[in-house]
Amino acid sequence: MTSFGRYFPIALVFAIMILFASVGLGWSYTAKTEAREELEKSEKEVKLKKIKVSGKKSSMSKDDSLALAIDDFLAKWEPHLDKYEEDDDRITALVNNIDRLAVDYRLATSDKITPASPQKYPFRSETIRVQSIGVTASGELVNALNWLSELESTLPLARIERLSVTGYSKSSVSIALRLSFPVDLIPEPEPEKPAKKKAKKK
Amino acid sequence: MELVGHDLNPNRQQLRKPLPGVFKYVIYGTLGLFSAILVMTAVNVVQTTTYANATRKAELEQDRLDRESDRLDKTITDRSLNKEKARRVLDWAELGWHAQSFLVDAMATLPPTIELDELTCELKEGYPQMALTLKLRGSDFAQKQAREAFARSLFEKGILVSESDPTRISNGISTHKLLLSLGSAQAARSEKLVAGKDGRQ
Repeated sequence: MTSFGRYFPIALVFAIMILFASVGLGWSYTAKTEAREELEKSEKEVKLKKIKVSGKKSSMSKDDSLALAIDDFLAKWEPHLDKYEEDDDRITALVNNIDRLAVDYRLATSDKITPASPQKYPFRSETIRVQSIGVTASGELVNALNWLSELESTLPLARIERLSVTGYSKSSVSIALRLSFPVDLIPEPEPEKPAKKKAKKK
Repeated sequence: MELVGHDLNPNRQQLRKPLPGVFKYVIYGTLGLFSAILVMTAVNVVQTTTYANATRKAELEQDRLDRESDRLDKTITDRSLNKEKARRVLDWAELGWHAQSFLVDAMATLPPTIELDELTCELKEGYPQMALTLKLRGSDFAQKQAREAFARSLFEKGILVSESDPTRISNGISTHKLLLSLGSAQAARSEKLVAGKDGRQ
C-alpha cells in the first residue's frame, strides 16, 4: 500500500470535520450578526419611543392644572347640559318646571309659547339649534324678581333673549320672557376610525 | 521501522517506515483547529441567544411604550375635546346676562319721582348686545336725572352704550332706546364662570 493510500482516509475524515465545523461557525456568525443588528434596531426604536413618550408627558404635565380646572368647570356645568337635549319630554318637563317655579312664587303664568322644533341660532362662527320658550308671569314685583332669579340659577344655560316688564308702578307687574336653550351646544363626538393593523415584523 | 505481514500471505513480511514525526503536529493542529472552531461556534450560539433574548425584551418594552403612547394620545385628545367643550359652554354663558340683577339695579337707579312704565330688553341673536327700551313717566328734570343715573349705573357695570336713539315723548311718557354692548361686562363675568363663582351656579 502506498503512503497516499495509507493516510488518505484519516486526512479525509479530518477534512470533513474541519469543513462541517467551518460551515457551523459561519452559520453561527451570521446568526449572531443578524441578532445583534436586530437588537440594535430594537434598542434604537425603544430610545426613540421613550423620547416621544417623555415629550408627550412633559407637554401634558404643563397642562395638568388647566385640565383639572376644565374638568372642575365641566363637572359643574354638565348637569345642566343634558336638560336641553332635543326631546319632547324634556322640553315639556322644562316648561312644567318654569310653571312650577312660578306657582312657588305665587305668580300666574300665561302666553306660553313653545315652537315645535328648534330654530337655527348664530353661535361663534357657526349655527347651532336652540329651543325657545316664551312665558309671561304676573304677580307681585318681589315675587316676580325672585322667580326670575330662581329661574336663572335653575337653568343657567338659558339665555333670556327678551325681557319685558310692564306695570312696575302698579301693585302687580308682568314679566314677559323669551328664553333660548341650546339643543346641540356640544356636538356629538365623531365615531372613532378603526385603528390600522400594524404590519407584522418578519 | 515496523514489521507488517501481508493479509493473504502471512509468511511474507515487510518492513514499513513509521509515520514521519512532523505528521504528529499536523494531527494535533487539525484537532486543535476543530476544537477551536467548535468553541467559537458555541460562543456564537450563546451570544445569538443572548441577543435574541435582549431583542425580545426590547420588543416588549416597545409594546409597553406603544400602549403608553396610545394612552397619552387618548388623554391629550380627551383634554382637547374637554377644552373645546368648556370653551363652548363658556362662550354660550358669556352671551347671556343676569336679568334679575340687571332689573334690580335698573329699578334702584330710578329716582322716586319717576315712574317706570315699561322696560324691554332684547338681545341681538348670537352677540352680547342688547336693545333696551325704557318708557318713563315724570317731569322733564326727573327724566333727565333718571337717564343720567341709569347711564352711570350701566357704566359701573361695565356695560357700554353703543347707540342711543333720540328720546320721544308722547302722552307724558318718554321713550328711551339704547343699544348696549355687554362685551366688557361679560369678560369680567367669564372669569367668575370659570372659577364657578357665578351667582347663577
